[in-house]
Amino acid sequence: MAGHKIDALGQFELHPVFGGLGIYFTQSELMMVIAAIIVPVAIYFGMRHKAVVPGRYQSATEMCYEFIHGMAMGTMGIKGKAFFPFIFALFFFILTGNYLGLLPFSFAFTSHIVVTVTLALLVFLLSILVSLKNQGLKFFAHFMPAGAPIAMAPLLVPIEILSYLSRPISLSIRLFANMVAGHVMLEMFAGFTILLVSGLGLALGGPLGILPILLNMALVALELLVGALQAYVFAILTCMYLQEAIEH
Amino acid sequence: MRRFSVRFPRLVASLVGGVALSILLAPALSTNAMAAGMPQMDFKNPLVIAQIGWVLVIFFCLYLAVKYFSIPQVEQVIHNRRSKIDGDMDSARQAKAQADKAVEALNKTRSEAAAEAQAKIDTIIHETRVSSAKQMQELQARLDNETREAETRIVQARNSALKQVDQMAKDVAQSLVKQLLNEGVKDEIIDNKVQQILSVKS
Repeated sequence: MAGHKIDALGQFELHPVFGGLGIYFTQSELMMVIAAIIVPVAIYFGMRHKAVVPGRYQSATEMCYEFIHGMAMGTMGIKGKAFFPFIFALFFFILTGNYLGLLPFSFAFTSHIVVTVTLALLVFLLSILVSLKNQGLKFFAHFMPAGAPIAMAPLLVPIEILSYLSRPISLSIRLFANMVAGHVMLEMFAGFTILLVSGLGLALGGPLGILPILLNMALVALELLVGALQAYVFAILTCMYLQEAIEH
Repeated sequence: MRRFSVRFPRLVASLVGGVALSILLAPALSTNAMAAGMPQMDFKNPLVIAQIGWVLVIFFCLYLAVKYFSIPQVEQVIHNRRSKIDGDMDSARQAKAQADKAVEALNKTRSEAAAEAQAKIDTIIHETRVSSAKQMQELQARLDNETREAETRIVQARNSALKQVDQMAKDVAQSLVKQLLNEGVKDEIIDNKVQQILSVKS
């Protein structure tokens, strides 16, 4: 096997972009910046003609807007209009991050738990602040389900609090785990090809190495689906948490 | 279908080329460097922890860009389109209302004109009937008058003829007597006899 091993986790290592300048700015942050630039620039170019009868690019841009708008307004209602830009930015930040990670020599910043936890905590803290602002101290009453016997309170309240506190954990780990799993699988199957060619030689390993590549192509398609789905799940759960904070 | 048939061979060619290139480059891309555990969980690494600050800053920048730049841009276009559609719909509704009014006015005018024409026709028919009745009356009166005059003339003619019958009877009687007796008779005798006969007959 010529000493080759599959290093599926090495792709997640961070490397400073500016070398030894002492700035903690890695390829992860670079991709974040690129994602943060791509979103407004893509929308700008999509909408620059401001056509009443839109072209394909403008239609796609408007469809993206309508999709998020429908999702946000449908979940949060008119009271949640103020949070629509936040949901919009969150969805496209995660989606672009997921898709950027699929490009060769790129990096998926959503595959870092620190990033997803930060975003999830941002959502969590925002929903708590909105709850406190809208409901005041009544917010804490929700930890005791309405209609439940008082005697059950010592059991129910800790469960409810735990359930509430688990929100950012589930939100962040879901995205992180999906992205890590996808990229590990891509790396593993790509590694199989490398192992086959380097271990068995081009004559025998070459034809055999085609299979993992074909599988990887299917995995890329799957990752495109997963990337969009995870961004959607993150955004819709954010909408639901904010809706609870607004409505109750 | 035709476009697909043109593109499909290209697609297959690029796939085959990509796969072949991947296989050829595979040994060169391999690396012996191995990550120890999950790099994402290495919280002692400042590069990992630094992402917290960066993601907050970058996401905040994106949020601002989206809120104050991108979303208003899209909303403006959608709002303009909606306004245009609403404006066009209003114009269409106004045009329809005007058309309905025009049709209504046309129908009203037509029915008025029809009623007026009917009234005129009725008047003309009535006048014609009155006129013809009057003419008939006049004609009847004239005919009656003429009939009366004719009857008067007939009576006069008969009376005149009857008057001449006496003379003719006298003349015929005188002539017959003369031819029978070969001599004349006095006129008074003839006159008396004729008068007697005529009076008996009348």
